[in-house]
Amino acid sequence: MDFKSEEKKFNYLTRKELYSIRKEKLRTEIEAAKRLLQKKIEPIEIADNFFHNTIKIIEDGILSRNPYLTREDLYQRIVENFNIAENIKKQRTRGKNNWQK
Amino acid sequence: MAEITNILSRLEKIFEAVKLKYVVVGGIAVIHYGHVRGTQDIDIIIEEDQSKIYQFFGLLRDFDFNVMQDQVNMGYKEGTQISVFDNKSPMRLDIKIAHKKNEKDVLKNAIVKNILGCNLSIAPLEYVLIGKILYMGTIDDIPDSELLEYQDILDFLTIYHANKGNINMDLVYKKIGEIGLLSTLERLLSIDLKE
Repeated sequence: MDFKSEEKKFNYLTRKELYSIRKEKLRTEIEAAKRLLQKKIEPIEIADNFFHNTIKIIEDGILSRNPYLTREDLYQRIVENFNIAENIKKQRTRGKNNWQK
Repeated sequence: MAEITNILSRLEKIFEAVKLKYVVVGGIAVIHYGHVRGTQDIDIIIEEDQSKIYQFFGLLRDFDFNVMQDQVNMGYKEGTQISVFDNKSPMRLDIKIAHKKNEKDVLKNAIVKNILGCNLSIAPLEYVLIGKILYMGTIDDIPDSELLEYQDILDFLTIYHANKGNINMDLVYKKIGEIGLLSTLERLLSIDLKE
């Protein structure tokens, strides 16, 4: 099977379609933000709970594979995982040097 | 107490004790203005005051943060970012000593808000938007279809549209004009989210 017939089979999204999906997602994010602000809910509290639960899940995952890790080593592992994700994300970050102007 | 609350609470005590001017910027400020998203760091700009800075980093150590002295020295001399890890969680503080005009500007205009029970000095919404544009720089080379792949652009658009009507746009235009990035601002504002 050549690439074109493979593409048809899986019906890949075009860049335009992806852009529309991202726009829709952004509209939802904006509406969610408006609701929080209108209801005077502190968004950092939600982010904090989300972060806390995320950490718990990551910790459980690491500890199930490495049950004898100390708390210090566990945090070190989590930080390493975060760094990998952050470096990937940095590929999509614009020039930080503008801040230095 | 969850991680971010715990850190903010310790920071409030530290800054109260040392009387050093500071401002919370970056992801935490973006979240505060409505865009709930993940972050692993708390970005802070502090005033350049040698007598207080070393006391500040000493207090961070006392409050369970892992401060590396060589990073502090370099940050003070060269204006580089100082990363301080929290001993109680996997989060970190990214601290910059205000050397540049934009850093001093946001520090001067910081506002005190009660966040999760802590009185903290945070960047006003307009300065968060300005900071995002500064980070993006020129975006002329990015095709429309790729614009929404950048975190800084998503941050900007979300907090801009969520707070529309409550933003001093004259100030934003003035500051962005001064740094020559009006084309970036205008392009972001021209994105039609309805279509």
